[in-house]
Amino acid sequence: MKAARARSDKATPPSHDEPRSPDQAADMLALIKARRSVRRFTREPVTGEQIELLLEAARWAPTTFQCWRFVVVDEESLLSTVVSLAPGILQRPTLLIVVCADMDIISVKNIYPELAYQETATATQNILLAASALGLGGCFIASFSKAGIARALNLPPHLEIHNLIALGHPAEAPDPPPRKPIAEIAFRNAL
Amino acid sequence: MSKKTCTAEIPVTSLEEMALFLLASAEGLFQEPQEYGPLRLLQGVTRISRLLEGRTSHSFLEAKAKEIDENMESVMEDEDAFRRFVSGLVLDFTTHMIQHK
Repeated sequence: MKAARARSDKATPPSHDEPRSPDQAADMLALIKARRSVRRFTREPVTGEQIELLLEAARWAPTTFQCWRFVVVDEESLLSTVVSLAPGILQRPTLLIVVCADMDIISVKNIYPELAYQETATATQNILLAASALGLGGCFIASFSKAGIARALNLPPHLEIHNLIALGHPAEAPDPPPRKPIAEIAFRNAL
Repeated sequence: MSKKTCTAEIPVTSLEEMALFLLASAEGLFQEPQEYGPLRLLQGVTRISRLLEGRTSHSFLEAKAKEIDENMESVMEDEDAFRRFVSGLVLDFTTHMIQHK
């Protein structure tokens, strides 16, 4: 993972000024709509290269303080323990990404703590979209024992676990769930 | 009872993981929606079945665990259907137990 980080740091992101084609926007929207919460996985492993891409996507999420930290859990026995600590996981995934916030950054900079949740949420969404683009399935998990997983992973107290992302090759293709119409949820200038 | 016994050697670690799952569920349920209680118990049934996987013949339990796995998410979509499903499981298990006494 260290080597991967070194390579990623050299990568130059595309400039914001680069022209975008209408096709790019359509592709992006299609990807967003095609993503599903996948909770059942095959035993096919997720490659190291795929894991790097997921973390790269997380790294480029909207952020102010980069307070997120990610712990990848794919070692068989540790994964079993962490899965047991997370009743929200319905079936054992191939790997888990434990998404944490470094609360030291939040307290040192005297930031309101909700910002940490916003940062980890945007990174989580990027990971899930990247997983979908790679043909992987994933689902973020909210039911888990924070203290138990922190102990299992030997996390320092300043790292607060915000969510887990279960990932793997999908063993199901869930139907799109219903969505509320835009008119019901969005308003222009006033309610 | 049919005297069919479980001779499977289950690793202690697997049983401890099952216990850990139950404990983590208990801890989480203090904050979680009420309907997650039955959901966690059903997950427990599927975990018992998985403990026996490849170790002993347990076709009834295995079939029911598969059924649970397929219907588990209905708790999030239709609570009434989930309740009916759980009640149906109780009756199925009871019938099975009586027939095998």
